[in-house]
Amino acid sequence: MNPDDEQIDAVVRPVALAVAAAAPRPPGAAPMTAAQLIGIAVRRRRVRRQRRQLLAAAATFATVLIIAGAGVVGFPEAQQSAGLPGPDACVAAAVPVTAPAPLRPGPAAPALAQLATLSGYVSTLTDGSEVRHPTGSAAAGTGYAFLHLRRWAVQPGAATAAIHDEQLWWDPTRPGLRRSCSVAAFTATGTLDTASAAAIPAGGAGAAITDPSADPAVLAAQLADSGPAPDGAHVFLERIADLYSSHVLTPAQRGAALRILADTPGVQVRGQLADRTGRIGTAVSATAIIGGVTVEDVAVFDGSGQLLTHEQTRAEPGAATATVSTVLLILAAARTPAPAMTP
Amino acid sequence: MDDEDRNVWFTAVYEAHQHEILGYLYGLRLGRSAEDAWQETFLEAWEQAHVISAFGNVRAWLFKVARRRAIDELRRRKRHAEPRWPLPIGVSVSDAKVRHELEFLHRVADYNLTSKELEVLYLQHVYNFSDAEIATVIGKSSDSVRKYREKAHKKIAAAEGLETGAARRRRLAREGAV
Repeated sequence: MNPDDEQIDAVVRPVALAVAAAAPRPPGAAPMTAAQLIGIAVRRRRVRRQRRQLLAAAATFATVLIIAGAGVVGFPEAQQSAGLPGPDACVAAAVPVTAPAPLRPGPAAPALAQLATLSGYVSTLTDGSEVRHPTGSAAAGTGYAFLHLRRWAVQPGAATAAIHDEQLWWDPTRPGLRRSCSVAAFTATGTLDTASAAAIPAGGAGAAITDPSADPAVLAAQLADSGPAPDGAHVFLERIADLYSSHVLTPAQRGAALRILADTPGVQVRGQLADRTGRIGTAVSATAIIGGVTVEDVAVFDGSGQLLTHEQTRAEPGAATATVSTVLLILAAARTPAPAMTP
Repeated sequence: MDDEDRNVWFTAVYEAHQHEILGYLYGLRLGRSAEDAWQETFLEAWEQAHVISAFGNVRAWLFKVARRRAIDELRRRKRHAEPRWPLPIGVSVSDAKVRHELEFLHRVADYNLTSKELEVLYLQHVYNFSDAEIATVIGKSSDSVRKYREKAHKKIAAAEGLETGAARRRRLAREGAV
């Protein structure tokens, strides 16, 4: 430290210590022992798990109702804003009508070295360096953030999947735009059942983490805080996929996300893998056994640290093969000069 | 991390930091609520043991969680959005009454430091945290922490008639140029 700043510290330190000394003191012994705290924590976790199971059951029931009803009712016209670009620009027509088969990642290897290297490289990139969107994008930090997402959701045992295709443009200060197409009940030709275009408020449609940090330690805390206490590597993988599907991340933020995966025990690298559009990247996976069901999360990241796809498979106890339960494809993550423009 | 490992890790963390965290929370003038915040801090540490143990500095994490719990408590009381650290709840540095009643704060108040600047200095001097650790605790970048400290130093230097390192470098450069 500079001698002049040491002089200043010499002034501040006694004052700070005096403030600390004058602060109210704790009454002596700690309010609880470690064993008592552990007892409370274990009870809370049990209650939370029961609540989560109940919510999952309710959500499944609601999804079944929506899928059954949406084909008939569709989205009300009132949700479609007049004057906005129409749903004809939606691009969900090419989706398959059958439940997709799981991706087949390669053999597992420890994640640390490979992901840490990729993280280090990604952090050195500059905004706009994504190889997938080199032209037509607005300059870094300007214009609207744009995401094009496509999701599949398959109910256990179902032969077909619900599909949702969504394009989002948003900006912190101006209203944005959401275009979406849903194929909820399948027809032989996979015709779109519902489509809509609606304005979204300035600042976006709401994300679990509003301002993702580029510091891995801070981002890890944000991820951990964005839902119930994570109880395994698969939760981090899932939340990182959520993060990518609600933000156009900077290279530094992507580097931080990869660093977290590199440092999370239980995350494995599964070699190079092509996603469902043929884009090749590094596959990363994490497995958990939840209520006897083996749940595997697989994510594929390209060379710029951008998430290409995330999918979750389930294998019931004794089942020979796993089935896909959800798939997320990030078809574009970029910035555009205006809503409704694509890179 | 299975529950047995988690409990062993937690007990060690508890033994090492229980008193310091309680002292820190009492220092934030939470009164008896400090004990609730302390309990929630350690419960969260148990729940997130695998995260905290994997990502390094346990002490900074505990302070970060304790600070967040304190902020939650203060928001619940709806007096301030952030703790008016290190003053008693409900007063600010510019509060004239505080200036007269709390002699030991008189000098700090004269520096006209912001709450963040004070907090950075406090964590540095009382708890010996590095910039990176303070960044974890207050949820800012190390660069921001450095800037808070530099601004604080500048204000203190002005009040005490001292010269900061940066000012000295500028002066020497000027004199060299002349």
